[in-house]
Amino acid sequence: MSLTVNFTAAQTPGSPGDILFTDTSTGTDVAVTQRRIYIQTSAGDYLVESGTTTEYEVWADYPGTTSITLTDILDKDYGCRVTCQWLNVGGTVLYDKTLYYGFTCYNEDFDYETTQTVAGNPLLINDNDFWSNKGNLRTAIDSGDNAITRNSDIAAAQQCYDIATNLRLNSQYFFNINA
Amino acid sequence: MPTVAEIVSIYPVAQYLATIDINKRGLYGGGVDVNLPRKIYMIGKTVERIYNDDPSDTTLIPTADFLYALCGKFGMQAQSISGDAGAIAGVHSTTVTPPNPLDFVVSGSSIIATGDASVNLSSFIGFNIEFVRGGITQNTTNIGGSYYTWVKSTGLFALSPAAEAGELLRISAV
Repeated sequence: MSLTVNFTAAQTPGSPGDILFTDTSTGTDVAVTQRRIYIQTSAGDYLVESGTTTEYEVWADYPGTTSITLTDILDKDYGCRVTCQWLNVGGTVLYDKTLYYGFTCYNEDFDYETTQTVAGNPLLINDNDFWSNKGNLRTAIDSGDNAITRNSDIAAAQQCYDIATNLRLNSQYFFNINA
Repeated sequence: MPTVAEIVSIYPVAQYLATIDINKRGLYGGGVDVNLPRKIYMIGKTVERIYNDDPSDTTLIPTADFLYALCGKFGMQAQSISGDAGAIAGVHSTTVTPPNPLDFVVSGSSIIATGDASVNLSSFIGFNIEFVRGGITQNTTNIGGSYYTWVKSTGLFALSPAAEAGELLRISAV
């Protein structure tokens, strides 16, 4: 039975720097023994864990291990081109799959923080530009998501995510709270 | 007070109810915050994300309650509304290229295999087709001989009699 490769990437609220990859391939190929993950930003850089000297992360033990968590690999939100390769024992690429992802956990988590803030003190927040800036934050995140889900356009998505990141990192000016 | 799950399910309804109400009230939303639908969306989106990840997250109680309070009367109206979800129509391109014709000899592994009397041709959905069997153009009218049926909305193609091994068939989109 041939192998039909596929994978997913996900993030967990509260751990915005981490990415969970899950191998969702179907079928079998006894020649495949390992995988590699390339996470490339719109600037062309490859994101890897601290200490990794290659442009990719090794995802060993195929097919025994179906998921891997890359820790602290993101320092902000990114639109990324993610390529997963399935290789034989000699390191030859037998299969590969490329998907485009928006990793938005930093700004999404922050957006929820602002929700908690307004829920806890609605009258104070109503006194300043909180709502318009929260609207800008939501629009930037949603716009970046649209760029990826509709066109796999990580360059445009990155610009949108960076707008949201700017709002997050300067939250003391925009939201009267600290990020 | 509704549960977090109920609030997450009703806030999109409250959002559109608020939009309609503000529009009907005219100038300045008749006193209703004209940004209310936007606020409901912004708060609802964040609460829904956390709920989808972990419905037992304790921070959801105050945030979801705030969302419900924000929805106000529209939240209560939304609770009384239930029904099947619809869909927003997609964009239909006017420059659709028809699929390539299917031209093959019936065998055990052909698109229409030996003995088969129907097949789903999803790539032909939306097109009319022309069916040629053994070099002879076929009709959809049954006058006792060979004919075919075609449902262009679902892609279901059926031929009568069933395909026999060695027959030359051609299906073209027109």
